[in-house]
Amino acid sequence: MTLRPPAGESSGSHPRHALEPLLNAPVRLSVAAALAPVDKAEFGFVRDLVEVTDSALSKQIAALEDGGLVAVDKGRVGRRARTWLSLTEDGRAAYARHLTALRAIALGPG
Amino acid sequence: MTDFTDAGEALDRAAETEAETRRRADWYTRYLMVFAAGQLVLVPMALLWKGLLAALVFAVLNLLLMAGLSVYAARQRAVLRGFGARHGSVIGGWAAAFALAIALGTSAYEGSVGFAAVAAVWCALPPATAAWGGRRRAAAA
Repeated sequence: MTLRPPAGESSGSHPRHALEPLLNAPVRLSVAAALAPVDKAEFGFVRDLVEVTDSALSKQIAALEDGGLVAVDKGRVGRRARTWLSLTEDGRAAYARHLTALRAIALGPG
Repeated sequence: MTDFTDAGEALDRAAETEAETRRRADWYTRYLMVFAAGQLVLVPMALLWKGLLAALVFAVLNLLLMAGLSVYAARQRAVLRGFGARHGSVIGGWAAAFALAIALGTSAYEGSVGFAAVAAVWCALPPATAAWGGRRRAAAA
């Protein structure tokens, strides 16, 4: 993907500067898109939707959680363990900002 | 490949993922349709069938419906945004409709088959209209 700003370039008028670096990875953007319409979704729901393996999703979720964009809650329903994922407030704001920047880039200059 | 096509593809992919999430997480519409259908049976039963056996059958059927719907809801893997407020308004509307139907059906319209039929539809309206609204939102997404 060619959207990431060059090293050392962190501000400016081009809309790419508004992109959320964590969401430049396609899987992480898909995870954010999967979580945007829901209050919460089970790990397996997101895995099936994004079509990645458990380990690949775990890795991406860990990065998003470290960045404060996704919250992870573990619980049980009966005997079944469930891991719930949700976008944090910061995550929703970052996702909205990222989409706005993508739209501005897609529209092009002028 | 240019920034423009990359950005456009990323936007398309995000929009498709959001739409697919809404489609797969739209279990509440089915929940509401079953709840509405239950009213068409339970309300006439509550208004027209009197006695201990009637009360017992009504209680068991109502319990089965509520337990079945609760288990169905608890097994779902995603909860759409605003579910709590939406469910609260549906249940609030249904409770008000049911209370009015029972109050009138056990006083002014006691034993009236016509009123029982209207009351059944009246009590099914809050969940049915919410289910219809959910279908429309899902289709528009």
